[in-house]
Amino acid sequence: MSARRRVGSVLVYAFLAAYTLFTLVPIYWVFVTAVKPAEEVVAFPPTLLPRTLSLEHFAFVFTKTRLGQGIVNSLIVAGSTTVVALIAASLAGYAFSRFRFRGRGVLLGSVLGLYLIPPLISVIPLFLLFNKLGLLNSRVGLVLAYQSLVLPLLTFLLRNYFDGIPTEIEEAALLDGCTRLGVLRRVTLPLALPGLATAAIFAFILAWNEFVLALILILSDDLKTVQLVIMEFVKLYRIDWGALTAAMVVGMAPVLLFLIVAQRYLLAGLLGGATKS
Amino acid sequence: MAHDNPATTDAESRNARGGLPGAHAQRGVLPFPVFLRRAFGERWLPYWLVLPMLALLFSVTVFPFLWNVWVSLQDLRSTNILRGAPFVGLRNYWQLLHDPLFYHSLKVSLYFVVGSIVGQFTLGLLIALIFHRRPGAARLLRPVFIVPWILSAIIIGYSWIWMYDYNFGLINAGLRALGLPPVRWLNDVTMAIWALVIANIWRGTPFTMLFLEAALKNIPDELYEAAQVDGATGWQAFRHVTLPLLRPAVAINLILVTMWTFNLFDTILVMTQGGPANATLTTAMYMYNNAFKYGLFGYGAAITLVMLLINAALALLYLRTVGRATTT
Amino acid sequence: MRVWRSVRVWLGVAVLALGLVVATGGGLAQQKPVVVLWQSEGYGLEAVEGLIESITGVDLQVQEFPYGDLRSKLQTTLLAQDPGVAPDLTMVDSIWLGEFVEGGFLADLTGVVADAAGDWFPAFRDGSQWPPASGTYYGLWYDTDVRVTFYWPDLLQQAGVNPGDLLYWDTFIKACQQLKAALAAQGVGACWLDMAGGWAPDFEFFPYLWQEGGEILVERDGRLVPAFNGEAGVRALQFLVDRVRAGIDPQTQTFWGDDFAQKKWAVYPHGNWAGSESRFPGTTPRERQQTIAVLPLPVSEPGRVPVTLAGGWIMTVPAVIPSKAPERFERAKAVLQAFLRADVMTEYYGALARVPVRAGVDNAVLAEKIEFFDFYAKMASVARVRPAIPQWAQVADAIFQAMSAAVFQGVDPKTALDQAAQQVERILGQ
Repeated sequence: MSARRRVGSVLVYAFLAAYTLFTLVPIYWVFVTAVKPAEEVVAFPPTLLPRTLSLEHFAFVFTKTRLGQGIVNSLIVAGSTTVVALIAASLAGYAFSRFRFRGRGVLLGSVLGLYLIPPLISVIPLFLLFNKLGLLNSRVGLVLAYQSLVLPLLTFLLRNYFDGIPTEIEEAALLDGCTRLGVLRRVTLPLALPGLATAAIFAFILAWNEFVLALILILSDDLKTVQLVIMEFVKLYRIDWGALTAAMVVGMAPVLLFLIVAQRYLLAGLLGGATKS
Repeated sequence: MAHDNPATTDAESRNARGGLPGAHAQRGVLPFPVFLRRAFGERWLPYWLVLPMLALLFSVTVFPFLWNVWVSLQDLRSTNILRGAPFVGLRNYWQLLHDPLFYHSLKVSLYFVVGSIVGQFTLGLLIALIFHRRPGAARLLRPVFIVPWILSAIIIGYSWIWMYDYNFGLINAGLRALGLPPVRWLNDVTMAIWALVIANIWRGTPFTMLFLEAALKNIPDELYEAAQVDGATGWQAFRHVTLPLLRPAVAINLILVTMWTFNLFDTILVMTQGGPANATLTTAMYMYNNAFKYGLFGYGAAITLVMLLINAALALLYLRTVGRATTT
Repeated sequence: MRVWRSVRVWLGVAVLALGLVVATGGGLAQQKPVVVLWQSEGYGLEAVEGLIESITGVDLQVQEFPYGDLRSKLQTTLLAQDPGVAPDLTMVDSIWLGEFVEGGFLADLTGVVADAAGDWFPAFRDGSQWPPASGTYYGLWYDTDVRVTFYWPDLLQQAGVNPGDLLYWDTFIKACQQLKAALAAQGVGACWLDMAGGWAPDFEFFPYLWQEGGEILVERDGRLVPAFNGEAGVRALQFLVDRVRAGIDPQTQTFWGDDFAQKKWAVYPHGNWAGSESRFPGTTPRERQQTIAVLPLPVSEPGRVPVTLAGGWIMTVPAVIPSKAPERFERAKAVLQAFLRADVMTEYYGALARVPVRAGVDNAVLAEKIEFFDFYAKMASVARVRPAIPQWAQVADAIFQAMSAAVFQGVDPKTALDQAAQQVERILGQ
């Protein structure tokens, strides 16, 4: 029995090791290409470990391209998307968690339903609509459009989080003469901070990563988000893989940073969001 | 079952007390201050709270969706968009039914969706089961495994283009090292779709893994203990305890993953644009081509709505088959 | 409470950052008036940028986009009807003209270019108008390129292949087989066959269709109907299938001639840019004529005219410029007229090895600067152009689908073409 279990263990760990390799190798290949000097990037056969380390591609993408501008644009757009979505979703999530009102079930169900409608569907009408409203080629327009990606998810995440906060404290505050909004502001929101952090990280990552809406809704170079700038590195038939991989490393840095410093919140959101929504 | 209807959780009953009775709007003209107090009073508060969210969602999701339905009934294209498009009723849909490329794209989507789901589900379930049994490994590896899922489509797409590169890609380097002939992964009419499937398995497996892991956590330990008392082996416990209880979660997971995979086109747009020779032209990609390559907005809108119908049908199918909570 | 404070801080940071970006954007004052021109990647109008600037006194900014992106970018930008995001001038592929004009995206330039158009060769003069030869100009066709067969004479010699074999369909196939047998060991491909994308029909189908006397579309009862599935089309597609069956592998990834310059292929039917300095940097035309050679595309039998396909770009102005930014239109007109001067065009053709679309350019200068210039000019005289109808992208994709079906799925050429014709009929009838 124990011998069999040991064999099982070995198999399990071999599998985990293989999957770890599968997960990390493409990312490793990007990182390692980014720090190779230009000649080594296209050396044949390719080198698994860089023979020489070089930061030339990073210097290039930051000084000779629009990457810096793209990062600023993405920070503004993703940051604003997060703030707007967090405000709207926390109010709605609180209402869904704490009140029973007519239409609640229907509303909740439709918000969930919206989450399943592909964002692809709204691309054409959003383009036409924003064109009419003068929101085409503007950060405001992009922030509004991104609400369609993040709001349903955030509303559910926050409702679930509020559900997990006991109501007794709020009741005590209500008895002390606080208004409902006062309770939300002074009691519930501070208690929900971890949940808000989780929601904020999600909104930020989704907005940071998005590119299809940005591709259609942003027309001028100075408003391009970081994802669109990365696309610029790909030319018709010659791709400068050194510069492209360096830009990709920069593009995924914030997301990986969140994974490292805020792993707990991220996983809480993923697991919580997964089961409840 | 807690998962059966995700929209109503136990929190609902818990909060029944704190809630308000349904808002009964009183007819008749109210004195102004009373109206104000009513409007901002306790009774209407939840509506005010959900209003910003609803207003935003209505303007960027519901309204575009309804507009999309309207557009799909017009012959809207880039050549008449500034002048106004003629209303054509269901002609776009009728044409779609006679469009050989549409059927071709459905076939490609079928390969893409089935391939992706088989890979993602098998790997995701396996890892979830392992993680459930070995919390130590889970703590260490979970953050690593979710990396692909939180990267952008652009980065995923180019990472894999680079992996698949004929001359400088790591995969062909490996093949050459083993003395095997290199493969033109993304430029081979039979291989390209599977190359996309592999990249998509890489991207999507973490979601299924987390989803099923969370579902496993919800299975009470007592059931396993009871099974052990009855002398069940590990496999039997899995077969008769875990699997039936996991079923509803599996159904929801399959619905979500199927929809996402069927609707997915961002990495395909980055990696192959439907080529070579339409070998990776999925329905979503075909829709994108119609709207943004051919400028046929009305036709594109019709395709998205047919896609939505297919999604809904698949969701129903899953709920009817996999989702049945009864064990056989 | 801490939440609100941090939210306020973040809002403040966001506002500050926004302000900073706006401020830096506005701070860049320009002295000379700027004229922005869009072109496809590698088109190379920057070669005459200085010349135009000295003639007109504007600051000309030539911006480029990858080929496919330029079209979608123009579509979305011109749809927005916002002069703030539109360029002053743009190059459009000659096959996009109908779609863009019908959409109302391009300015009527009859008054600006009609006089100059007298020097243009008829096919290109007609193609600059929409509908063709209607008298309404939307710019002028700026250059053209022709499809020809490039080869490395030394590689042919090594394989014992007579270059003359490349002139006829049957001997072409045999030559390719012979080359493959001789060169495979050294990692050199025999004959390039482009099946890499929607442009494949331009290289592998339309020229042969025309050689055999066929047409892509014909007008019947006042409307266009498909004609490519006639006997000529079937013969042309059969030639493609025969080549594949004979072991000439269809290529699904193109490097636009770079790989020919790197001597990875012995025979390379392609656009004439494949023999230009852009692919052989640092060489003179004379040196290129001594290392590579060129022939017309093969024909089915002696006596057939080796008809080829001519592409090219039209220089035009977005409609939104005259309608919403008239002061920019004045500058755009001046720049456009400068670009159309024979000396400017001679300079550009010479630098980029383009084939002229007009008389009046200095052929003696061009013959010095462009390899095989006389040959290209002769080929241009027997070249044909594709119909620039609004549905062209769809039509071309349908034909490419037929080629793919015949090549990759073994569908019989006649069946494949008939299916495509049915689809094209629907596309045109819509």
